[in-house]
Amino acid sequence: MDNAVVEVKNIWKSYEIKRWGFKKQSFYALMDVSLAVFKGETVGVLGESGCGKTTLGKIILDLEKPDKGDVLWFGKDIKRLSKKEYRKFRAKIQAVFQDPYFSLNPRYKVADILLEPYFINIEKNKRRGLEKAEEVLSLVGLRKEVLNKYPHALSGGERQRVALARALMVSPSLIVLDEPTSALDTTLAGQILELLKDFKLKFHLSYLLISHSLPVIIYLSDWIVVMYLGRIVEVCKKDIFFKSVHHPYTLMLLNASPDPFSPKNLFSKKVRGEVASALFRPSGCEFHPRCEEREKFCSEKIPQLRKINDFHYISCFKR
Amino acid sequence: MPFLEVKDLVLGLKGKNVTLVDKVSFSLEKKEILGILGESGCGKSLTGFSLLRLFPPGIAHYSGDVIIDGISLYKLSEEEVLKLRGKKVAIILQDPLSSLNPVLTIGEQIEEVLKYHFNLNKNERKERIYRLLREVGIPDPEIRAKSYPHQLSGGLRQRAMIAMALAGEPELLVADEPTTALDVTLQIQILELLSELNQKKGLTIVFISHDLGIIRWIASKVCVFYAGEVVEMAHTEELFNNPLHPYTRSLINSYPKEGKIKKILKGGVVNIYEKPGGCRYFERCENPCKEGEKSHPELVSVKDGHFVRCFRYG
Repeated sequence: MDNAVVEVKNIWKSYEIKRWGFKKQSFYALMDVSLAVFKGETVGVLGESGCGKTTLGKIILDLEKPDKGDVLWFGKDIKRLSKKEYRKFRAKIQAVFQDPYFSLNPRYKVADILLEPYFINIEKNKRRGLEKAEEVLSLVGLRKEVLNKYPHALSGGERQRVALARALMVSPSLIVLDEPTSALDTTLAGQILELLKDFKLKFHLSYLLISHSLPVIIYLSDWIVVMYLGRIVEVCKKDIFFKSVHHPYTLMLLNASPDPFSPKNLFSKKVRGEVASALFRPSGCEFHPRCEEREKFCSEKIPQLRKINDFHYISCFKR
Repeated sequence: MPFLEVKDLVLGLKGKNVTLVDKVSFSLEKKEILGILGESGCGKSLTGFSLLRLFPPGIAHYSGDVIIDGISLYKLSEEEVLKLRGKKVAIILQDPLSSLNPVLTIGEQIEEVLKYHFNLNKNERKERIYRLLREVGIPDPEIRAKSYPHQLSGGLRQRAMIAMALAGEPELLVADEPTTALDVTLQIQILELLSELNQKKGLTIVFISHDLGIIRWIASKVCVFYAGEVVEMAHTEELFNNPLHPYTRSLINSYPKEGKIKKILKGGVVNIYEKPGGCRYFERCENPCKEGEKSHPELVSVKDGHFVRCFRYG
């Protein structure tokens, strides 16, 4: 089998915060997380705030170092890459972030924003760089006049397109999409999602899509990964997602998601509780205080991700 | 007579003759929930604020009228409006962390409302605060009343804000994107709370949101806003089953359904400084009509309770 574009193995990541001004306390943002993204595939990570999904994205981009575990780019451990190899692979993994207002340099014109990664990673040739820039701009549906504008002169949707164009400048293999449509209106979000789906087919791009929105994840992903408090609780192939039995937390998310086309009343199922703090992690299964099917042993033992079938893994004693 | 009536509401910016909300009219019966749906910059929040006669800085002229329970809000003096705010009509906002006072405890902030509107002694106020907090589903109200906003989680904070809004026992509640800053599992709990308040206490709610799914399930009647005007208004079931305005249709079709988007709406929201003279949706319309280029359509009634602003109908 081919190597995965990106793979993480048993990642642990903790952060430290200061409590009461001097006492340090550490907590785990990610616990024993493993996943792989193959060529042309989209893995969607679904979870609420504080579940570690953004941290996972940062680790894959090598913006954060894990405490334990390995990150592999194209099958090679990034800790063992030579400088030259690292630079080569680094450009292949790009990112688009949630808020296009903050992820574009306000003092750079769009042309400079797009050329910077090109100069660093491909070649220092302005003419060819600009050609490429015009090409990617037309791909994302912007006119080349945009090149001479500053980000503040663009609307939210246009900015997000520029962010996407910047990622495409260096012909990446994988793009980490961290909430790419959360800051946009419904109709604009639809346009960006369609573009992303288009590129995936056209360039065989892989995505790691991080989102809290179920419809977005369903729309773009091949695999759906559900996280809760730093752990993966379920992995499921999209095709069977609506035909399968789910982790109680995934069920809760499904019930809570306001789907305008559902025949069932939104309020027919009860949803209770809040995400626990990672500082005061519940014992045993992290989800047990909110779980409706909990048993006594749920608070004592930690469930492991178990295989239901080739396309479905759940971490729950009751499944 | 309807409980809430908004008549030809116009809000505009200084100088440039820019209208942000343009002749908006709607009415609402008691115990109904009206959903206001629209993209950013379409004037939906401004309309919400104007129901309390609150205007953000920059609004230079306004006209029209808001009539709540027979009282014409825009004809009152400033002092009379103060007596109404919180008592007759209250508002909850999107981000509870930035709209609650960080240096006062939750209890103190609720007490402020009680002091202003009711003549109660200290013990009665305390009891009332605990009752309110319990009502909105905050456990241990005796402890929580002494907490500062930053000590509460997002869900509890929004609940505290609802408790504050309810303190004056309002009959009308304006909810301006109250769940946008919350996670889905908390969002549904807040929505449930609001619909419970609506059913049990008969609270009339104007619910402003950009999320189709939320509006679909909470509102009984929907106004769709585009570029400062109402383009379609109907009962929720009717609107979702039989959308007429091309904008409403595109909104519904561009919502990902079962992993597919039916149709993508081109272009962005209209720039308020360069509103087209004719139909404001003309440039994005997939099936533009001749009249729309020059003249501006009126909101017409298509059938009972279903209004649409489009030349193709009526």
